[in-house]
Amino acid sequence: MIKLSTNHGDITIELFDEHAPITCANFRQYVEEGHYNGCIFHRVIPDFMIQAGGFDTDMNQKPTRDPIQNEANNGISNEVGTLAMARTPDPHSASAQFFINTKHNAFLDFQAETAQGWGYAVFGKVTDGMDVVRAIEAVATGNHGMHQNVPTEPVIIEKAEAL
Amino acid sequence: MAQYIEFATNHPIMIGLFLLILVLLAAGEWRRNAAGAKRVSPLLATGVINADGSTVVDVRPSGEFKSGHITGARNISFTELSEKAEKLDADKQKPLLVCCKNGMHAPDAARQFKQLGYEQVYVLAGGIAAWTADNMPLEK
Repeated sequence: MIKLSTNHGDITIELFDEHAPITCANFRQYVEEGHYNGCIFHRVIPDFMIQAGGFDTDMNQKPTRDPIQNEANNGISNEVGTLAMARTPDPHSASAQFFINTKHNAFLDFQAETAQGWGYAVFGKVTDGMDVVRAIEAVATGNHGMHQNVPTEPVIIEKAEAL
Repeated sequence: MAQYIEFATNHPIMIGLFLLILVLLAAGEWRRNAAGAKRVSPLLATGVINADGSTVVDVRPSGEFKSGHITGARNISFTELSEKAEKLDADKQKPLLVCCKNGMHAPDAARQFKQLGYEQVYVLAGGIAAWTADNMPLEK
C-alpha cells in the first residue's frame, strides 16, 4: 500500500503487483526515493483524470529514471479510481508521472500493440481517499506557461510513503 | 472623415478586397462556431465522451475510421451524412461529439446534427489528428 499525503488530504493506493510488476516496482522505487514528495497535481481535468508526479510547486520538471515497458496489455481497464502511468506518444515512455482516473476512461485501455493502440497501463487503485481525489478534481484550473488545466492553487503531494 | 471617403473613392479595388476579406473572416468564424456547437480540445472532449449516454460520431470515410478511431465511436462518413444522420440511434438530449480527420468537416457535420434536434453538440477541435497528438489512443 502507498499513502499520498496531499494538502487536500490523504489518498491510499493498492498496487497491482501481479498484473503490472514492472510499473509497480518503478512506482514504488520513486516513492522510496522521495521523488513524489513536493510534486504537484499539474493537470486536473474534471470527468477525466488528475495527473501528478512530474513537476514541483514552481512547475520545474523533476528528473526521472529511464522509461519503462508499457504493461497496459494486462487486461485491467481505466476504471474510476484506478491509477495509470502517463507517457509521451511513445507507448513505452512512462517514467514517474501517473494519473488517477476520475471516470471510467475505457478509451484509454489497451487495444493493440501499435503506437496508437497501446493505451495506458493501469497499475493500482485508490482504496481510501476518493473524496480527496474528488476534491482535487474540483479545484479551479488555468494555464501556466505552455501547460493547460493547471490548478491555480497548487495541489501538493507533501509526502508519498509505502505503508 | 472626408479624407477616408476620398481614399476609398480613389482606391475602390483595395477597399473591395478589404471588405471581401472581412466577409470571408466572418464566414470562417461562423463556420468554426458551427452554429451553436461547442469546440472542445481532445482533453476536454474526454468529459463529453464520459458523460452518461453520450455518443461519438466520426465523419471520416470508413477506411480511415477502420484504421483507428475513438473507442465506441460510430461512423457516418461526411459524404453520407445528409442521408444517414437522421438514422443515428442516439439520445438527442445527451451530448454528441463530432470528430473528423483534422477539424475541417466536423463543424459542418455538427450543424446538421443541431438541425436534427441534438441539443448538446460538440466538435473535437483539430480532429483525430489532435486527439492522437495529445497521446490519446485509438481502437481498430
